[in-house]
Amino acid sequence: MATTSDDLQLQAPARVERSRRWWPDPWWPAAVVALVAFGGLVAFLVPLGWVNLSRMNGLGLISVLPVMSLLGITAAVIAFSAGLCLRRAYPAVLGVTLAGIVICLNAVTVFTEPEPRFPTAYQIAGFVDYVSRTGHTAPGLAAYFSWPGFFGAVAFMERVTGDHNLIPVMRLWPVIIDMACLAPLYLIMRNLRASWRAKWLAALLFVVGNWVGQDYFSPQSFNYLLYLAFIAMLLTWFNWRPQAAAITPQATPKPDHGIRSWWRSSFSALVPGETESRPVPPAQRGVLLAILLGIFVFSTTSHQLTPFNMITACLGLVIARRCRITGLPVLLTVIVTGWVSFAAVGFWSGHMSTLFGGLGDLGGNLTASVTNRITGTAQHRLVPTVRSASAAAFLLMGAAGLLRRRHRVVDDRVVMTLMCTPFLAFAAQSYGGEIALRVYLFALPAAAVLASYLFFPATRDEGVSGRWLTFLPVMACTVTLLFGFFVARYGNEAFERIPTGEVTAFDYLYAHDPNGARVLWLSPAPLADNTPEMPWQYRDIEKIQFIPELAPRDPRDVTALVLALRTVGLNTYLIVTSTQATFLNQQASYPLDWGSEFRAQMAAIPGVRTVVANADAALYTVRWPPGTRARPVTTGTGPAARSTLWTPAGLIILCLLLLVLTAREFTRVCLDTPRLTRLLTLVSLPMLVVFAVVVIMRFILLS
Amino acid sequence: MTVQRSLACAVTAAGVTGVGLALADANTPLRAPLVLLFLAAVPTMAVAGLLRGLDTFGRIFAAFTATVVINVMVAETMLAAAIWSPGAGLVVVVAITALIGAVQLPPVRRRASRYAPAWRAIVRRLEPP
Repeated sequence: MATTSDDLQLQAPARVERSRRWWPDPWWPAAVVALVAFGGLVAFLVPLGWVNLSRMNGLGLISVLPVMSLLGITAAVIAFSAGLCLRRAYPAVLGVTLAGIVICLNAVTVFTEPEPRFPTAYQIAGFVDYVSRTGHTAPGLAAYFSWPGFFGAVAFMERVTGDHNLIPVMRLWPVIIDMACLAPLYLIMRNLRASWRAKWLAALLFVVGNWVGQDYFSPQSFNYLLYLAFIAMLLTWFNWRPQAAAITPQATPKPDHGIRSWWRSSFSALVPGETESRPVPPAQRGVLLAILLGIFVFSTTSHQLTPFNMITACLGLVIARRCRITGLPVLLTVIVTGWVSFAAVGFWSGHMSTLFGGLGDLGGNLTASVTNRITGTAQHRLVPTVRSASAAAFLLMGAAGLLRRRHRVVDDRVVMTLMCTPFLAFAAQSYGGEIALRVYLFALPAAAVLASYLFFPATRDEGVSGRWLTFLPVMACTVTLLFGFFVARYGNEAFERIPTGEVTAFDYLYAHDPNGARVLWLSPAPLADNTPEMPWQYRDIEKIQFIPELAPRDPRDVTALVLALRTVGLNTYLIVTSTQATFLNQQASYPLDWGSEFRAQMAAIPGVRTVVANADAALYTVRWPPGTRARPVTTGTGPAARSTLWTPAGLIILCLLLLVLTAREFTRVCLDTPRLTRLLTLVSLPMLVVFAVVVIMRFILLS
Repeated sequence: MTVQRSLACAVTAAGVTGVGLALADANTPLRAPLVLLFLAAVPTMAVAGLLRGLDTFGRIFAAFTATVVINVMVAETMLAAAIWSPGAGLVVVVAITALIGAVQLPPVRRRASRYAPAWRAIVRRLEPP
């Protein structure tokens, strides 16, 4: 076996000592790094004002970015990589460069696009607007309203500040969230036994690997930040090691036999990859636990997937014996089950099969996630390929980094757990074919840390010799991932961006919808597709009904659509946007000039009235004889929470159970009283059984 | 008075002004930044006072997370309990902040520490060594 990490730790100061010279460290390498990085960032940002977005091809934003910008950001990343190989850490240089890279990567659309990007962000703004106007939710209107926490929070801020314009918030949201994610990441990495080089590299890898694009104005972006904060707080203050006394790795395990020997050599005799939790007085541990629970409760009320990731991560840490609040997973499970069973009834009642049909169908969910996303023109098909390759590269590098550390007798069970637990989501459901992206997103922080161990496996800041040997591999890796980021993140930008003309068209709609309206939009697969590529639903969500219609493959064949406009009735509009036409071309291989031909054809049909027509969008309706009466618009029913006889009884059980379980965890954390904890456990067991029965009864009776 | 303490006082005063503007529904450009300053900074300072045992970064991080949780949970509770009223919500946030600040006042701490031995005795009775 290789030299133990302990040996390395003992040798490290000596080595530093030996290489210390009588002249001081030169200042110029750091200055060069800072200068190149700063120049690169400026070179990226300056030419962005002249980008012509309409020339974008199937590869997305990277096809129209100026060469100067690409060279600039490459230079910044190379400078950062070089900064990792300097004699000592220069946190100011690395930190400013990293922040600059985050701004360049995630705010590039702020500088190039006239309106905030991504259709779903507008839809979320519409939900916020609804809550802000009415003060209640409408689960019958959209499934999102079964998890209204985020909408309520933003609406509260909106009303309190008296500012009702969400456009600037939507524009800056991604870059703020991505920047904010670095704070919990720093807190997580502070607990790891790793050199500063590994930690800074992990931060850069996290930034360039975060191409999933789930950082737009939405509950999931905020919840991702909360997930990181939750993990960071667990690791920092509730990490637990029974063998915390001293690190005494045994390079040659005692000659045991069988499983025991394998277990010892695999885990017991290794240097822990993380430090002990920081000492905190008991009462303050209680405050921290209260904050943790607050994070989780809000997450439960605002997103479907994140609480499950928090539970699995927490359970994983408990099983790995790195979480001292051993009963926390049970408490969290009860909280989330209670919410789903009692508050989110409108979501599951009636469509159980679509929700849980995928339960256990692991292979099916994976294939649905991966293959359904690989369609469209040859050039655009490259985007999902790059995404898959980047995700695979991260996970492989993570695994390799884990092995390299293992070779150094380091036991990185915490990071390994955090990388593996998100994969449990595959077994649950397909999440609209998006689960692979989400799994990757939640595995990313840990994968980035492990990948950085591949290059810098040391458990502490060791000697400085040979550090430039890693420069080339690090640079090659980060620059490749950087270009992968642009393709993976902004590969769909040709249809995910929002041109101003589309907003104008929707403003017209919202100005003319006092009696409600219906909007037909064109989709290649009206049954499966549920997001049009346009700034939809950002106001009056209860007034306008959106109906997907099959886009005719032949743009001259519009008779079916005109007929649909007539059958649906008065106040019905057909919208066609340039981004939707691009979507049809790139994702479903419609003809390249489909949009313009379709618009020419529609305008030529007698009886069709063009209401709005600009370069980006057109809105059509049909002429009706005066006196035609409109059919009322039905966008969905109001609150539809059904209750049974069991509801009050179940709620009482739930409250009592929550009380006992919460008391148990606070006792465990604040008072050192194992007997009291055991007593509370005994009390909670029968209640847990009753609660489980109530939940199962509700699922059976109400579904 | 230290620099930190006077800064905290200034921030609190500015924040409270913002809360006053918001409750009076004043239409000034100062309202949004000042009320956001209150919602972001003042609960953070209050919770940070409870977490004196933590290192600086951890303390700020945990306290700010607590602030976010307080704000969003007040909004969420109003929504879930069908008692939506942003002004009242703001008052509740102020009240929670004041409560957290109040438990740190010297008289309260003194009184709490007076009862500490009794509490310890109860725990000891539950948990004989």
